[in-house]
Amino acid sequence: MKTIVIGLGNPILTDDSVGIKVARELKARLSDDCEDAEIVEVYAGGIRLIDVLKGYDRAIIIDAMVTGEHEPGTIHRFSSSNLTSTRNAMSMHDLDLPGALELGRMLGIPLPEDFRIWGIEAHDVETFSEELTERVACSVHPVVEEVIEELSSVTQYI
Amino acid sequence: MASVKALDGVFGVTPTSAGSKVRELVYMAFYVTDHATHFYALGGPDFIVGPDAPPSERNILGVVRKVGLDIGKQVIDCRARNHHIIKMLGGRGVHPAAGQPGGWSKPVSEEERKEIEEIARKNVDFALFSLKAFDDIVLKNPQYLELVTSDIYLHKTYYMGTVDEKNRPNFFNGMIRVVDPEGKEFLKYHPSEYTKHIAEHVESWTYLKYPYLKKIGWKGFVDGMDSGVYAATPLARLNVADSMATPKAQEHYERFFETFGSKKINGRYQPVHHRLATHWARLIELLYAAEHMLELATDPEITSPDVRTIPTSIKGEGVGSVEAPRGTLTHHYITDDKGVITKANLIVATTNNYAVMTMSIKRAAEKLITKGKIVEEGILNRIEMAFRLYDPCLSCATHSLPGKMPMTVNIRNSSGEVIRSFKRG
Repeated sequence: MKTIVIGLGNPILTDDSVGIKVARELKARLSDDCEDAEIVEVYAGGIRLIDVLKGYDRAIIIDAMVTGEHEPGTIHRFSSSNLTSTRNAMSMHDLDLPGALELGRMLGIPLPEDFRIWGIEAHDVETFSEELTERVACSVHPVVEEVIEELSSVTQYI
Repeated sequence: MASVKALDGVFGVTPTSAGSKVRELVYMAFYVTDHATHFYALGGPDFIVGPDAPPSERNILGVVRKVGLDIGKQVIDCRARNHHIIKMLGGRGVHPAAGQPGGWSKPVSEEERKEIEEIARKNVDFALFSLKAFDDIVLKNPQYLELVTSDIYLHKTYYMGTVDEKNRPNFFNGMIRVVDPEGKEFLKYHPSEYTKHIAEHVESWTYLKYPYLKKIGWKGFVDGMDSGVYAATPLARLNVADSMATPKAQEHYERFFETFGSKKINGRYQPVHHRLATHWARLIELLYAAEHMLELATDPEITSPDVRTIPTSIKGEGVGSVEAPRGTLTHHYITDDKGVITKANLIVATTNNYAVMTMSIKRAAEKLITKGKIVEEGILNRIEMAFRLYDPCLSCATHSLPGKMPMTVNIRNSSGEVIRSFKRG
C-alpha cells in the first residue's frame, strides 16, 4: 500500500508547525529504505493537497487544531469515516479537505481512500516563532510513536 | 519578491541581470497560478454558478459542475505545473527560499528551462481559454453584463500601478504611476519615494489603515477628483497603462476598453470605473503573465550561471516593491549595522485597496436596499461580490483566523433601529 505522510502547517507560526515537527522527527527516526511510504512537509492545504495526495492509496496527515475546547497538546484522531478539516487542511483561499477530495475525485484524480489524521490542539498559532509551546511540544513524541505504529501495521517499515 | 528586493537595498547590492530574470520568471509562474485560483475558485463562482446561488454551491465544485470536468482539470493542472516551477526554482512551494540579496541562489539548467518553456506555452493557451470562457459565460449573458456595467459596483477614483518606461504594466520592476479619475497622469515616482506620496488614515473602528494620496489628502470615503482615495488592482493596472507589453494581452486590453466604450484621449484609453470588470482585467493580466513567462523562458540569459552579486556591505535601509496579484506591494526595512531589521513598514495590496473596498461595500448595500424595498435573495452574496472583486478575504492583510467571513448585515429603518439582520460565519 503506497502511503504518504504529510506534516501540515506553517513552520514559523509557533504551534502551527507541530505537524511539520512530527514529520521531521519521523524522517529522522525511520530508515531511508522504506519503499511504501513517503514523508513530506506541506505548508498549505486546500486544493494544493490534491497535488500532494495524487497517486497514493493511504494518507496520514498530522496538523494543528484549534478547537478551544481541549487542553493544548491534546491529540485528536480521525479516520476516513469521520474525516474532518484540521487547521491547515482547509484553506481560507479555496476549499477544505473534504471539498478538495470531492473536487479531485470528480475530476478523476486518483486519491487515497484511506485517511488517518492526527490533529494536535495548539496553544499559540499567531506568534512568529519556530518553537512549539511547552505542552504542544510534549505531544510530538507520542504522535510520532503512534504514526510509526500505524505505518508498521501495513508497511514493511519497522 | 518585495522582501528580497528590499534586502537588495539593505545590502546595497544590484542583482545580476540573470538573477533578476530568474526572480521574475518565478514570479510570473506565481501570478498565473494565483490569478487562475482567484478567478475560478473565488471570483468566478459569482458569475459561473450565479450570484443568487446558495453559498454551498458557489465554489469551485459548483463551477466544475456547471462548466464541465475539462475546465476543472485544466485549472488543477495549471496550478500544479506552476507550483512545480516555483518549487523547482525556489526550493519550496510556499515561502520560496532561493531569493537572496543580490539575486538568486541557483541558476536555471537547460533541462529546467525547456520544461518551463513548455509550461509557459500551456499557460498562454490556458489564459486564452479562460478569456474565452469569460466571454461566453459573462459577456454573452445580458443579465451578467448588466450587473458588471451597473452603477451598483461603480467608483470614480484615482488608480495606481507599476509601469515600465513605455507606461506598460510591469509586475516586477518600474515606476509607480497614478492616474486621476479621468485618466490623466497625476503622479509618477520611484517605489522608494512612497512616503512622499502616500499617507495612511486611521479609523477607530478598524486596525487596518487607509492609505491615500498625500497631495490630495483624506476627504473621507468618497470618490472623485478631490478625494485622495485610490485603487491598486488589476483594473487599476490596466487603467494606468498606455498599452500592454505582450501582443495577445494587448489585443484583449483594447477589446476590454472598447467594450466599455472608453475613448482614447492623447493616445490612451479613459479609465473603466466598473469594479466588477476587475475579474476581466485579472484574466488579461493572467495572459500577460503567461506571455511574459514565455519570453523569460526563451531569453538566452535565463540559464546564465551569473545569478548573484555577493553583497560586501550593509547600507541599512531598503525599499522593495512589486505588483502583487491584488495590487501594489511595498516592503521597507531599516536595519542595524549587522543587517538585523529594527524597523519594518509594509503596505500590502489589500491595504492599498481598503478604502475602495469599504466604499464598494457601502455602495452595494445602498444600491441594493432602497426605499424600504429589501432585496432578499442573494443580498449577502451581492455585497460580498463588491469585496471579492478586490480580494478573496482580508486575512492576508489582517491575519484574522476564523476561516470564514464573519459578516453581519443590519438593515435599519429611518430611526436607526435594526429591523432585520443577516449573519454568516
